[in-house]
Amino acid sequence: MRRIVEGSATAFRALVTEYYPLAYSLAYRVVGDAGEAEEVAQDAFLRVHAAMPSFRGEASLKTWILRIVHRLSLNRRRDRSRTAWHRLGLAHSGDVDLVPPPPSREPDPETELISRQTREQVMEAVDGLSAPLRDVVMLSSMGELTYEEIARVLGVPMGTVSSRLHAARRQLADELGRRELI
Amino acid sequence: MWTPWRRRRHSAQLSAYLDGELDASSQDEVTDRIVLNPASRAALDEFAAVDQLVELALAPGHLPDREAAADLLLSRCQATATPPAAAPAAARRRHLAPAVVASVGILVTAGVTFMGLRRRGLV
Repeated sequence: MRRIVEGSATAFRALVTEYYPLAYSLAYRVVGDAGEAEEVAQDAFLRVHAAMPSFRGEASLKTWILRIVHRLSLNRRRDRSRTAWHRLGLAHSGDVDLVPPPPSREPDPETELISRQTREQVMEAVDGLSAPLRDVVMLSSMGELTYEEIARVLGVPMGTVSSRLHAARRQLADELGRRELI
Repeated sequence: MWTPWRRRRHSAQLSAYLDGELDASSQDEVTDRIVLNPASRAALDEFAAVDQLVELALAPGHLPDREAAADLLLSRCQATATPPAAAPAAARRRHLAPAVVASVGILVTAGVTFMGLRRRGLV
């Protein structure tokens, strides 16, 4: 890390190659668009590079980077929804949950493991969760983070992550059951 | 007979069990219950099915090339970097201007005061 702070290109390259896929993966889950997710991930790493001298090492690099990615992704999602609502003349001040669904994701047909219809229904169910529950689902669904790491990214206690994840699973089980997907 | 609170606690434990986040004794306790109680098994399967669907639905279709991303980011970082020698000189210039203005101001004030005192014959 000291080498990155000192401006080592090799060290920064190592950091990017290690964490870029994870950063992109989180951004994609939140913004729901491959191009925007790339932009968010790149913006996040530029900020990481600029802020590295002030990094105090209180969190791991992984959770620090993901925290930045998460914040930028939420901003991107919120900005887009504001623009969309204003364009329609339906601006609704302060209601963050009134966001339109993210643009349609474009999965690779060859790697598609579930049908487009099922995917859309699951995404609708996830979008129907409250923002705090949706956040833990997005992070947990990457399958690479412990409760402690999710807690650090979101800045909440570990017990909160556990209870939110349980509540989200319960709600999703009910909703997906109602749609006869499970 | 389970109370609603106990049922809810057990459900929460199943959620954490699925993530491997229980301590050893709770892990054993939940494992026993899953083996012995079909309802617990069904609840765990339901959570697992939710996870599987959500993971498939939210995962990106492909991941970007990390090496290409690193090349791009490094070139962008280098393009925005400030030349190290230019920065201190610019900073010095920025601090110099107010100092010059202040010095000239003090000299003018002193000169006007001196001329006034001289006119009155005080110096």
